[in-house]
Amino acid sequence: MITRTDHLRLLPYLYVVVLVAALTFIIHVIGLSIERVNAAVLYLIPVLLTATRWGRGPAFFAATLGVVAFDFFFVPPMLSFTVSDLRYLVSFAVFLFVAIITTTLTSKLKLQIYKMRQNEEYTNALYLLSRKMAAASSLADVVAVMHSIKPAVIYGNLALYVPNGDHVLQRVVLGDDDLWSSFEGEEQIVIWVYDHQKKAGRGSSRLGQSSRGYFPLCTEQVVCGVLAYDLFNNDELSEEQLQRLDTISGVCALAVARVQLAEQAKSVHLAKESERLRNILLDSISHELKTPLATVIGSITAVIDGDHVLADEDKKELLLMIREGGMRMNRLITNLLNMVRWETGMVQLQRRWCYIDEVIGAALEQLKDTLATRSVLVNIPENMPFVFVDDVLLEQVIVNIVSNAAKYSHEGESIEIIVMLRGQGLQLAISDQGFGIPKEEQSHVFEKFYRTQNANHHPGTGLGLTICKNIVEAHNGWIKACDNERALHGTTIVLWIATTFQQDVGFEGDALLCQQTEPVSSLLTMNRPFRN
Amino acid sequence: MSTDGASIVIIDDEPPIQKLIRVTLRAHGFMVSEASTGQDGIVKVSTFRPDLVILDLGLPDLDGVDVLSRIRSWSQVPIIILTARDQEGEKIKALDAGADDYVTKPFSMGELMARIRALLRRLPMGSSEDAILRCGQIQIDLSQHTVMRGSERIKVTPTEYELLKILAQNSGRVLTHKYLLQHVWGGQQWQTESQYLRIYIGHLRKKIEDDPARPKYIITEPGVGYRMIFPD
Repeated sequence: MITRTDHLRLLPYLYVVVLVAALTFIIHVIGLSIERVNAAVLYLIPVLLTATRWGRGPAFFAATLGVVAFDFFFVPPMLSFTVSDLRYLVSFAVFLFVAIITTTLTSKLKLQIYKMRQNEEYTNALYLLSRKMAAASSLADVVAVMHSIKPAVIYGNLALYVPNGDHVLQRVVLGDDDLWSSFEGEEQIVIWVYDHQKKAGRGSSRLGQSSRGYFPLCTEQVVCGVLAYDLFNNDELSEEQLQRLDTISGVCALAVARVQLAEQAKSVHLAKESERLRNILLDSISHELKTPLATVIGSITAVIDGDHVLADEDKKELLLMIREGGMRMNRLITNLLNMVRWETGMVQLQRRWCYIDEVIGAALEQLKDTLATRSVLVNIPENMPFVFVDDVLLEQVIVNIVSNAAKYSHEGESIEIIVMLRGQGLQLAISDQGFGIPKEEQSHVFEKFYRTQNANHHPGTGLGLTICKNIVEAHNGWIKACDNERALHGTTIVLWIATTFQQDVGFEGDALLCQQTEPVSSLLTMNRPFRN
Repeated sequence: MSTDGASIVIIDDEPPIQKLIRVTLRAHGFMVSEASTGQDGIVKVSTFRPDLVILDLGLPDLDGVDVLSRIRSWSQVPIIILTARDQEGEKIKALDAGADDYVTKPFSMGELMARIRALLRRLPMGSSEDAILRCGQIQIDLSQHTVMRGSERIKVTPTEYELLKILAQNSGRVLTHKYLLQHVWGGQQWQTESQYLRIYIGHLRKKIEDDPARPKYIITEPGVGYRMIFPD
């Protein structure tokens, strides 16, 4: 029975027949038949062509057929296989000999070229592999690179097993292109290979009859995973193929080890960073909580133990300190809780129509003890429309910024709050004439727990401005710190929040929404000193 | 000795703590002056020549231990340090650098007052001419190298005697493990030898205390050292 592959194999022979027939016809037509030597040499053409194209078998066939055709058509007596002149037999022998030599040489050359092509392809693949592996930054990358060069190396599939965080070997899956199907017991083989750092499966002494093979991925120091391969055909693996798989596993091992080390380094860095944050948090909370606590406990014990010696005014002073200490702790705890609320997404804006004057007034009222020795100038444009903001949160923003302004400036120095309408929003600039924030730190002051060098010895947690930033950003706004340009030194905190305006709130909701188009400078008309 | 009218310098950068101590000490009849930085503190101590210094270890400008060593370089004034609980290492450094006692925040004012009084009452070093140290019922005869408890003579080994002598000479002060080991054993590798100290303190307590489990004379300062006190 002739199968399809037999057909393909027989095809060159058919071509040879056609070629020889055509050649015979041509020689016959152009009349070269007289010069028999030339005709004989011409019959070498199909032999050479066949040898380069289809290899040895068809070439031999072409040589034989050529001799036969030459004999039949051109050697007298023509159109007969009999040879009148026996010297022609020598010619036939020489012809066949030459044909065989050329055929052998040509097909050898062809094989060499084929091998060289393959080698080149493999070398290219290897070059590509090492270059791409060098750029791979994750295990998924490594697997992707491996799959991309796979066709040049083996006719089959590859898989990579790497230990995860819990030191359990896991196959690195590449997206949806996962063609690998594990069978029962494969895991044990992989673990064995990993633990013993020896090959197993196909092409090795252990489990050699298996259809799959497993290479340990070893670098000089460590074993970092297992490379598995599955061939689509059942051919014996050649020494060369094994060598290639070995090379690939070496390159993979280096890449995997590098990725693993990078991940370790990253996790160490992360751990350090979170450790640092935790320390800052602990330091800041313990200091912030302990100082007022020490004052409270100290004052209370002073009153209890020294009841007989303390004058009334001393006692009052101690009681005031207890109150101040308690309030300071309350502020810290409120800030911490607010922070947690923001971080867990428990805060929702409740915008209301309100007067910014009132919001600022309420904030300053909260701070009246702190601001007792200072003048606060509040600059609000005339005919200030209603703004649509969360007034409670905005009040907290103002309280935090103004209390910072007071904390980081000397007693008696004034604080200025400038309000203006800008674009589709409200801008507030709160300036002090205090110690200022170094330029390089200005962008960091809104980070959680960040304290500037200047602030380190003032009580504080580094949370106040972070909360402000959260609130402002929830209003689709921005906040920044810069030098106070209207004074010699000091800080200005500028914030802008998106809001709509309403000139007047009517009873039936018939108020006109107005868009602010006036130039900003003209709004700075009113200067209301706000003194506590 | 009466503690009334003694002058005290407070070096602390926290206004509320400063105020608390000032109000209380003034009410108890002390003269108080304050400094909120290390530099200022050193200047105040050198100009006022106070009878006692209260020094917070966390200062904005200088390291508290630095301030202490600078004062110690020219003055033997008793110094009480204020520490937070997370400054354990600093505390021992400060005691080794010559601080007399420490109080951990948050502290009760009664406790601070007691420490202040104890240090003010303590006889200045080397002022005692007579060769007998008295500490409650315990008498140490420096010339005879004998220890009496009431009227009964107590047998002590030379090392125990040295240890007791140093504790008694510094009564009221906290002596760190390092200090004791260096002065009694002259040891350099004090970290490894602190076990000896525990053993000898144990022996001494058995000999001089009524109830060694609840000592009256030799008090343990956990993690820091020991202190000998006069039982009232």
